[in-house]
Amino acid sequence: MTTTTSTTAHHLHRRVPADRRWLGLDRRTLLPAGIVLAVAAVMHWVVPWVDTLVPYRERIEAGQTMTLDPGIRFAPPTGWGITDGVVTGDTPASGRYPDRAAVFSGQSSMSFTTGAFDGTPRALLRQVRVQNENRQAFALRSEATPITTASGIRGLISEFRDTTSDGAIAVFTVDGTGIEVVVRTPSDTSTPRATEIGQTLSSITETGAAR
Amino acid sequence: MNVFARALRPARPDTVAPVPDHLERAKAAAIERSGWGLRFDAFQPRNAAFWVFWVLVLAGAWTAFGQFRTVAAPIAPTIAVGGFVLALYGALFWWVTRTMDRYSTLPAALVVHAFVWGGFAAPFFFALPANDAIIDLYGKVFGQSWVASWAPGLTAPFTEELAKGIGLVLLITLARRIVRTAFDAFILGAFLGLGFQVLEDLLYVAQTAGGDFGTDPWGAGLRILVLRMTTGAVGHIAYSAIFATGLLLLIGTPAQPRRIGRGILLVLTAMVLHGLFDSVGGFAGPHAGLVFPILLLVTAIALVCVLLVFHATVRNERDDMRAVLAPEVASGVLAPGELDAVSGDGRARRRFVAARGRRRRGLRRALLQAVRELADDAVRPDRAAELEHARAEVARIRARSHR
Repeated sequence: MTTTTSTTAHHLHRRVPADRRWLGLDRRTLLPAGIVLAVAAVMHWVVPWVDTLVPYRERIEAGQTMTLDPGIRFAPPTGWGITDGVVTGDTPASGRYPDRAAVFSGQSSMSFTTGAFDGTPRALLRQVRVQNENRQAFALRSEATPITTASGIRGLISEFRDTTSDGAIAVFTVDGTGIEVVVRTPSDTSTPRATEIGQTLSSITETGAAR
Repeated sequence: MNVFARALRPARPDTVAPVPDHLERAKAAAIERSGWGLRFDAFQPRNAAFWVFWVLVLAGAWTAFGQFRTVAAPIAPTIAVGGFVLALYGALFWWVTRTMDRYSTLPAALVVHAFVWGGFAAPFFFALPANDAIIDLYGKVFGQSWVASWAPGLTAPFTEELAKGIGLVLLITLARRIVRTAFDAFILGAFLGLGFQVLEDLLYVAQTAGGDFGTDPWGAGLRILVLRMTTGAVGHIAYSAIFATGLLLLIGTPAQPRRIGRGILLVLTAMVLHGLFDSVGGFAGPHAGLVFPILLLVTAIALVCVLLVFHATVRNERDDMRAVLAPEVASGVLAPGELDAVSGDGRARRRFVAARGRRRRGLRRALLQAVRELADDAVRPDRAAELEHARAEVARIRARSHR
C-alpha cells in the first residue's frame, strides 16, 4: 500500500500542470534546453561558418621553403597560401617541424604528409592506394609513372579524377621516410599552374636530419 | 567518548527507543535538500531537455560513426582491441567514481546519461567542429607556427569544457529534485569527463593507428593508447568534475545558493588545468626530456585541485548521511560508532574496519556496507519492508563481527 501511494505521488509530481505547458512541453524546461541548443548551434555551425569567412593570410614569399619532419624540404610556388605546416626557420616551440603541410592557390592545392616508411615508392603507393580504397577516398585511375626530384629522390605519380577536380598522388621514399603529396586542381588547369606544381614536386629534398 | 570507543559499544537492536521529533525533521530536511532516494525518469516527453538531450546525443553518435568509419576500415582490429581496453579502463574509473559517490548516491540512470553526453554529444557534435574551426582561425590570424605550438592549449579548454559542462544544464533540467548539491555536480561532471575521455581516446587510437601510412597500426595504436590512459588518469574526469561544480555554483539550486565568485573560480581552474596539460609540448620547447616532468607536475596540480574540490563539496553529503541515520541511532538500531564511520571520511572508515582486529576486517567492511544500504532504504518511504530487512541485516552482521 505504501509503495502504491508513493508511486502515485511520484507520478503526480511529474505531471506538468496544464497551464504551465507550451506546445505540450513544460515551460520551465524551455529556457535551459534553449540555452543548450544555442550553444550547440554556435559550436557546430556558427564558429565553422565564421572560419570560412576569414581568408588565409600566410603566403609563400619568394625564396621561401617549407620543412616537414624529419627534415624534408620543398619550395612551394611563390604567392601560394599556407593552410597547414610551417615555413623553414619558423620552427614551432617544440623545435620539431610538423609532419604535414598544405598550400593552395585558388582551387588548386598541394598537401604533403611524411611518415616512417621502409620500402620502395611502389610499395608506398600500394599502401596509399589500399588506405584510400578502405576510406572510400579518391581512387587512382592511371598507371603509376616514375618521377625523380631535382635532388635525386625517386618516386611515383598516379592520377585520379572525380566529379569536381583532377588530381594526382605522388609518393617518394628516402632514408626510411615516406612522402605523400596529394595534388588537386580544377579540370581546366592552365599550363603555367601545372608547371608550378611540377616544380614544387621537383624541389623536394632531404636536409639530412635524422629520424 | 572517542570514535574508537563508541565503535566498540554494541547497539541494542532489540530495544527500540522513541525517536525525537527534531531528528525526524532533520532527516526529512536532509532528504528534501539532497533529493536522495528519488527515482530518475528517463522518459520525459514533456521536458524540452529530454528532446534536446537525445537529439544532440544521437547527432553526436552519428558523427562519431562517420568519423570512425572513415579511418577504421583498414585498422578495425586495432580499434576493436583499443575499444576493449578502453572499456576496461572506463569500467575502472566508473567504479572509482561510484565509490566516491558513497553518501547520497545518484541514480545509475542519471550517471549513464552523463556518460553518454560526455561520450557522444560533447566531443562529436560540439567540440570537434569548434576545435577544427578555431585552430584554423588561429592559423589565419597568428600563423601556422604559433598554431603548432600553442593552439591546442588555447582551444580545447574552452570548447571541450563547455561542451561537457553544458550537459549538466540538461541533467539538472531532467532531474531538478535530484541534482541539487555541488557534490552531485562534481560526480556528474566526473562521468561527463569519463565518457569524453573514453571516446576521445578511441578516436586518437583510430587516427594514430593510420599514421605512417598505416604500416604499423598495432604499434602506433597501442603506444597512443598507453600514453593517453596514463596521462589521462587525471584528465577530463578531473577537469569536468571541477568545471561542473563551478557551473552548479553559478546556476544555484534550492539546496545550493548561487556563489558567483567561487563558481567562476572553479570554471576557470578547470580551463587553466586543461590548458596547461595541452600546452606541455610548448612549455618544454625543444627540450623533449622536460615533457614528462612537466606533465607529472601538471597532473599533480590537477590531482590536488580535484581533491580539494571533492573535500569541500562532500561535507554536506556526510551531514546528510548523519541526519538520515541519526534516528536509527536514537532508536538503538545503530551504534554511534557505526554512524561516525559511515558518515565519516576514509580515515574514520579505516579506523572502524580495523577496530576488531585483522580477522574481522571483512565483516566490518560488510557491516558498513549494510549500514549504507540501510540509509538508502531509510530515505525511501516506499521501502518499509526493505528497511526492516536492512535493520535486521545490520544486527546480524554486527553480531557476527562481535563473535
